[in-house]
This record gives sequence, structure tokens and C-alpha cells, in this order.
Amino acid sequence: MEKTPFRQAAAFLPAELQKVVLSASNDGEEIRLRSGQPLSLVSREGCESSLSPHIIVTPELLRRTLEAATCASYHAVVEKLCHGFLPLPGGHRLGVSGSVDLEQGHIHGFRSLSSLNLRVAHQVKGVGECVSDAVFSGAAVKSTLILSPPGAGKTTLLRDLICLASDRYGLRVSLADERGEVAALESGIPQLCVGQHTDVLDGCPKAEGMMLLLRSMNPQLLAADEITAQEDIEALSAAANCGVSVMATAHGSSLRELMRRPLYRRLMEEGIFDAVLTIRRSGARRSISVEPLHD
Amino acid sequence: MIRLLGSVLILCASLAVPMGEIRRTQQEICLYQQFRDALRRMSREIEHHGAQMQELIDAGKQTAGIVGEFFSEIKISALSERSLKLQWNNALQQFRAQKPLYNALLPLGEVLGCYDRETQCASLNEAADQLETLSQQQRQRLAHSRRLWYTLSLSSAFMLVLLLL
Repeated sequence: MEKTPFRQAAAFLPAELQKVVLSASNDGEEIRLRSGQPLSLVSREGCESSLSPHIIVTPELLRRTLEAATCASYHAVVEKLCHGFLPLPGGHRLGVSGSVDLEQGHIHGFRSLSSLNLRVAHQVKGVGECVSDAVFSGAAVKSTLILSPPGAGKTTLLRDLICLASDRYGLRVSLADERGEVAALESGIPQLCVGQHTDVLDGCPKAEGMMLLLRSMNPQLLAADEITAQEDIEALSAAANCGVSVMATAHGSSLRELMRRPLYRRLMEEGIFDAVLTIRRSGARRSISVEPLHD
Repeated sequence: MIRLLGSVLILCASLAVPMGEIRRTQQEICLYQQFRDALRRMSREIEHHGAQMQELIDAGKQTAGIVGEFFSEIKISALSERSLKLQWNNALQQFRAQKPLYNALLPLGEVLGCYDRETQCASLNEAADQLETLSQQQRQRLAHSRRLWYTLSLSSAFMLVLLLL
């Protein structure tokens, strides 16, 4: 029997927690462990509920979960953890929170853990179909920015649009997947479908990665998740100036809200994007609105 | 004839007893050194290459003899069922390590797997240093046993000559 993504993700938990999770549900968006609290599950509708009041998460259980998820190699993945989460095989993510160790003002590691958030990878094929007419015209693709608050499905939509560009429109796509969330490469093979004509660069800082892909892979579409820094904007701008279409995501609930933030105002002023897709979530339902930026 | 047989028996016993002790000590030194080298290698790999625990355990398995068997007891794929600390401690108990070796290796089960690079390297090096000290102590014991063996064999040979005269 093929393991569902939920079961795959639950396998990273210690055996006793696995049992509780799998006996309670067969699907969910997140499995949350908070020290001193019962284990809880966030459903696909976004509702969080405690699984078993008898099983209280202890610091030892948090430690064991991290140990199992990192294959006892905390030392080898601590840099990734310092960015907030650890990408796991299969595209799942383990978010970490607790007391951090600072060194010269930067997070150096975790002294103790207080919470873990196991986020189940979620590939929804066809989610981009409803906006494909607005994004693709013939064999060309518009430079598109995907906007939504955290957890609303930006990465899922980006992945599906990449798939469409690659498989349906036959475009050469290059993906700068800094945190391994979009393609979840494992031994060079994407664990989540990103299309046949997609080249993935994993683990490299986005700005550097986009420039590298631009030089080495001759893309027709350059994609990156979560634009957060000035360097990312510069790399996107460089790609757009080379005649390459770009596709990226950003945190934000609307274009107006985005324009209030100096970094993103600059991004929009660069005139890189032709369209903005905004995802709105209400429970399990999501709606995507398209805002063309240029005629 | 009886005197001859008695003398030969004394000679054999006086040679065999320290010989067994020497062999045991040599085996212990070899074990300490193998563990010391394995731990130093783990520390180097963590410090310089940030190697994953699976690679470190696999390298340990390549070591000949008991050390290789010890590392074979640790299954990274079974971490959901049994923590590394538990597996490490079980492996130590299973191969009935002598008290000093057991004491040197025991704390590593707690540290390996969930501590930062610096702490792991420091603990591995500390354990390797302890094993080095133990190995030196055993080498001194070995030298002492060898001296004893030479003295006994010479005295027995002398006694044999006297008896045969």
C-alpha cells in the first residue's frame, strides 16, 4: 500500500506519537508538538484540535522527534534549523521553536526546544488551472507574483504553475528552491512534481541561485519562492532585463498591503511583474484573484 | 624422571600464566586504540565535513572486530522506535565492555545525535583522550607483565638446569 503524504510525515515522529496521530486521523496539514501540551493536529480546513489529552508532549519527546527527523544529525542540519525549519524527505517540513543560542547577534543553534511543527507536504495538482489563462498566453508566460498570508497555498500554486509551464507549455523552467520547499529534491530527484523541463537548484541562496541558473540553464521562466530581500529583487530584475519571465511568491494579503512595505514597493516599482495572483483562504476553501499590472 | 617432569611442568606453568595475561592486555590495548581511532575519526568528520550520523556509523562498521560489531548494533533507521542514546547504551551492554571502557563511552549516547557540532566534537575527543590514557596504562601493565614473564622464564630455566644436574 502506498504511503500517503500524511503517513510519510507521521513516520518522522517517535513511535508512540505516530500511533496517536494515525489512530486519530488519516490526513491533516500540520502536526504540532508543544512542550507541556497535548499533541495537536491542524486539519486541512485550518482547525487545530488536541489529539489525546493523556499524551503530553515532554521535552524528551521533542528531543526524540528532532533526533528522528534529523537522523541523529542535528549538527549537520543546524544551519537550516536556524532559518526556522528543516526540509524533510518527501517535501515535509519540521518547524522549530525554543530558546536560541546567539553568536554575534545571529542564531547559532537551539539551547532547548519548546515547540515543533511538522508540516505535511501538500501537492494539489491542477490548482493553477483556474488562473492558467491569465498567466500563460500561447507559449509565453507572464511574469507573475503570487501573494498570500502564510499557509494559504502560495508554494502549492507556484509548484503547479511551474508544472503547467514545463509540461503543458513546454517551457524551460529554472527553479531556485533555496529551502527545498517547492521541489523537495532528494538525491537530485524532485519529490514533488515540478515538470519534465524544470531544472532545480536546491539549498543555494535565492539571489545567487537565480543568477547562476540564468547563466547556466538558459531558462525561459525563472521561478523562486518567497522573495524577502533586496538581493532577491535585484536578481529578479536582472532576469527580467534579460528577457526571461519570472515567477515568485511573497507574504501579503493584498497588493495594496504589499505596496505599504518599502521592500515590496521597490519590487513593484521595478515593473518586473505583469500580473499578481492573490490567494484568499476561508476554511478549506481558497480563491485566487488575478490583477493584471500592465496592459 | 619425576624431577624432570615436575621441572618441565613448573616451567610451562610459569610461562603460560603471564603469557595469558600479556595476550589479554594486548587485546584490551587494541580495543582501546580501535575505539579511540573510531571516535577521533567521527570527531574529524563532524568538525570538518559536518558528516551525517549514518555516514559516521557506517564508517564505524568498517572497523574490524568488536568495534565494527558495536557500531553495527546502531540502526539510524530505527530512531523512531529507539533513541540513539538507548541504542548506544544497549550496544555497550551487549558487548560487555570492561568498566573503564564502558564509562568512557557511555556519555556519548546522550551527546551524539542531538547536540551541536562543538559539544559533540569535545565529547568525542574527551572520550578518545580517556581511551588513550587507558591504553597507556595498559601498555605500562604490559611492560610489567613482560618483565615478569622474562624473570619467571629465566628463573624457571635456571631451576630446570639445577634440577637436571
